[in-house]
Amino acid sequence: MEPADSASDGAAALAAVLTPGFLRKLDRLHLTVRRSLSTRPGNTPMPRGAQGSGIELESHKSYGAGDDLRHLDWNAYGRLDQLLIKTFRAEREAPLHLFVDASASMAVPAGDDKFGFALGLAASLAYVSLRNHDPVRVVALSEALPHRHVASPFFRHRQALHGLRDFLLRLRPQGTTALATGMHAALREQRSPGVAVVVSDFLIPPEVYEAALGDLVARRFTVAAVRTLGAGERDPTTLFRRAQLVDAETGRQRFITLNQENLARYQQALTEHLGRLKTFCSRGGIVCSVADTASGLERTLFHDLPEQGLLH
Amino acid sequence: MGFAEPLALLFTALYGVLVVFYLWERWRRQLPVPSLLLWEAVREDTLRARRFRPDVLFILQLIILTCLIIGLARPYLRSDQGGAVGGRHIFVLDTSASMEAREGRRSRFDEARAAASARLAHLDAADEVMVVSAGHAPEMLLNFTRDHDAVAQALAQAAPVDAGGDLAVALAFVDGARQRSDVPTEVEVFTDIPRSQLPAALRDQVTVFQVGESDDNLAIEALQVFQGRFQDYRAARAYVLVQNFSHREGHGFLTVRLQEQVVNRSGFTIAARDSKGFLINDFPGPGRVSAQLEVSDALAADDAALGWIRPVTPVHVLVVSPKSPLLDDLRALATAVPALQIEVVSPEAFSAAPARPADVVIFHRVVPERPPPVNALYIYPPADNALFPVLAEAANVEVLDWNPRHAALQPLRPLAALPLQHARVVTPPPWSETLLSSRTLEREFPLAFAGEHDGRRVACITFDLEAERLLSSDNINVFLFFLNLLGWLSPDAGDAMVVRTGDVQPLPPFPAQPVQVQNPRGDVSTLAPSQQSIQPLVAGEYRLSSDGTRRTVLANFFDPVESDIGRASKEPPVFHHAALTPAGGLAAPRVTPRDDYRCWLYAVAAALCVLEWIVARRVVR
Repeated sequence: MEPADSASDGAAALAAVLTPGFLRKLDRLHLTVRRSLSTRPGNTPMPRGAQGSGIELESHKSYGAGDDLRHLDWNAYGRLDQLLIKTFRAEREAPLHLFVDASASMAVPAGDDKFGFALGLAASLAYVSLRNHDPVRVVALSEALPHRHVASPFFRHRQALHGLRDFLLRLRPQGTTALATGMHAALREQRSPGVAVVVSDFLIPPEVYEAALGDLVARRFTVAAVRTLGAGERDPTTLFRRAQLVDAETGRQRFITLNQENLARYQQALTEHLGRLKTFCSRGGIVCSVADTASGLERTLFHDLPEQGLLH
Repeated sequence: MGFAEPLALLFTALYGVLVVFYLWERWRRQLPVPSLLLWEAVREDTLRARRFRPDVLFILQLIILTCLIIGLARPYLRSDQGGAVGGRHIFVLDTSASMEAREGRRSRFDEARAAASARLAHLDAADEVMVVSAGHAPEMLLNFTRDHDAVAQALAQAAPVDAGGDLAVALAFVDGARQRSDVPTEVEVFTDIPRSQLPAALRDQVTVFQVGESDDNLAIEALQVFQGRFQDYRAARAYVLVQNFSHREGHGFLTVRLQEQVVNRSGFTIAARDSKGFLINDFPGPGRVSAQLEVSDALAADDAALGWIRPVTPVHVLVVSPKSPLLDDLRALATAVPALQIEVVSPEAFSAAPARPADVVIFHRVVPERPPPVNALYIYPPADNALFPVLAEAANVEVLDWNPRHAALQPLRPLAALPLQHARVVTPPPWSETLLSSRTLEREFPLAFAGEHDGRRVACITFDLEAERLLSSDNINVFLFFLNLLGWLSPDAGDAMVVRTGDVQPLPPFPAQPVQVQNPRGDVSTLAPSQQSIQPLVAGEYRLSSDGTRRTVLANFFDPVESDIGRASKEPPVFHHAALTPAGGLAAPRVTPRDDYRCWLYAVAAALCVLEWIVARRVVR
């Protein structure tokens, strides 16, 4: 099921992001990458890893056999008469993989505009990454797509932001969620790990998203899960009191009267759902953030994600 | 089984509404949600809403709705004979003359009929209705029937008569029918008589719908033509009495006509509740006398009256008598009365078939062996006669009693109580009625009697008329009685009968049957051969004819009680049935046994509602 105005909502969200003022705000943000196995040099400092050939001095260590004499600090030897080897912070390329859930569930409730929010968030993170000269690609995940995903090429320059925007604008929420299968297909030929940000409503069985996120972790990605949550989803009393609910992806129906008892049951189910997602992410070292679409994109980018450690 | 309110079955369309309610559950607003994952924990309403499958709730609701609809349709059961258990109503329609009084544009009878029709319209289809007219005599216009169209037709065909009525008799008549009925029967009376004026014993058994209030009526209460049997029209005079029954002064004109010629026209003013008499003389000839009031009142039936002035017809009297002073008196009488022609023969010369037929034969002190085929008067019959056996002789007897109803005695009351010198005690024959009577120490006996025997009028005077000196001024009453008796014995076949409406009058003699009657309204009917009387109920001239012979009956509506149309009060209907509500007026509902069925159905519906609620609590969240 695809809302008719999903495209216009996405365009509006992207238009709001790709404004000079907002981009200037994004200039202050940087991705926090905990590890990267990319061998290509880049501008992203790696916290740990092999001695890099960077220019930023990290520390000194005593000389050991086999150390590269080119890093011997002769000045220190002259003053201290000790052989000390300079170590540098490694600066590697940190490719950013933005996995955007393009299933039909992202389009409903229409008032929540979860898909537009996801596109805006993806564009914002892509800008942050491109500004740091890291490659960025966007992967839309849906069972309705060929091979359950469609991936953009890597964008490597900030000038490519318009190409990224055009790619995002072509996306439509449709079909059922293909988080695990689509992600697996998208990473099949991707050897070097990077940063993976998954933007989804995660309204799928926990074992499915756990498998998907676990796969990313296993591939040594720095993984972040952004759970988009709308006001209607958080408080369905604003949507109906008594209705025939239709699953946007499967078409299944359910007759619900939203009385106090049922509302409590729903909210308990939502709390459990979010709690399980957070618990899993916490155990797997995955950044997890619940992005309330009603609170706006800025709160997610400048408050929630920095708080969770994905941005700084 | 039937339904008293079959239109209520249209409510069965609510079955569709019930189904729509179920489908509405199915058709209710669809709301797309991202996933039902979180809603799995929420209890769904019920499976019955997924698609239309009649469940126990639906069946219960269907039964409840059915009970309510059938209850509204008011079902009733038919008996084994096929009749419905409905109520019975007896409509008593007052058709007396006062109901002809106009109240505005309509007459009281029209209002009563409209009220009855309205009442009929509110009855159940199963109700049986009898229609009784309460005119001069109660008459059942229609027996109990459920054919309300026939009832409406009977009401439409009913008409008031120009005669007084006795509503109490009609109520007693219908009360018998009510008591004989095996189902609840209501008597509803449509009349202008207030309920409070009905007999107390019957008033509580009926519902009275009273109509009419006006008292505006001037009436001719009498038209009396005075003309002796042997007087011609010049000696005739008429007396008209006009009564004002209203409570205000009345004005108008009285026009008296002979045939179509106006004899007298007088204007008058009569005070409230007063009367005035008019004496009319000098009629130009014999014929029909009509008196007509020209007034603007409510009741027209009593504004006209008819009378009759006889033409002079000579009477041939044959006197069979031995020599007697009475013969001299009779000859003197014949000389004074031109219309009286007397012929005297001796008993020996009398023959039963005389050469010249006589109108009346007078036998003085003689009784023939074979009575003649004409009307006869026997005076002082001999002691040994075979026709009137003489029991004894009496002397100096007085007239102690008389029959004032007889034509010979109507103008004479009382008779002078002069003693009669000689009389014979005779046993009157059974076909006769006593005119004058006296008594001895032993017995009461007739001094005169008369009657009809073998188609002839026969009279007998048992006292010695010769001794009483017929023409003596001391015995003027005896003389007048004799003349009246002679007039009764010689009726003028050509005279018109003047009667009062409602009275039963014997038919005048006709040579052949049947007799056709044309009433004043122009309706012609044929009397049954066995019918020997006529009861005019419409004021005016009745024309009787048979085989070329014509007679006239002039019927007058003289009834001061009926003409007094004013009513002291107009009382609202008081429904005698305890369950009837006066507030309902003509549309007052009636409680019948079938209402119990309705109550039972409502009770079942209520019980099922409770059951449905309990089931719904279990089945539906």
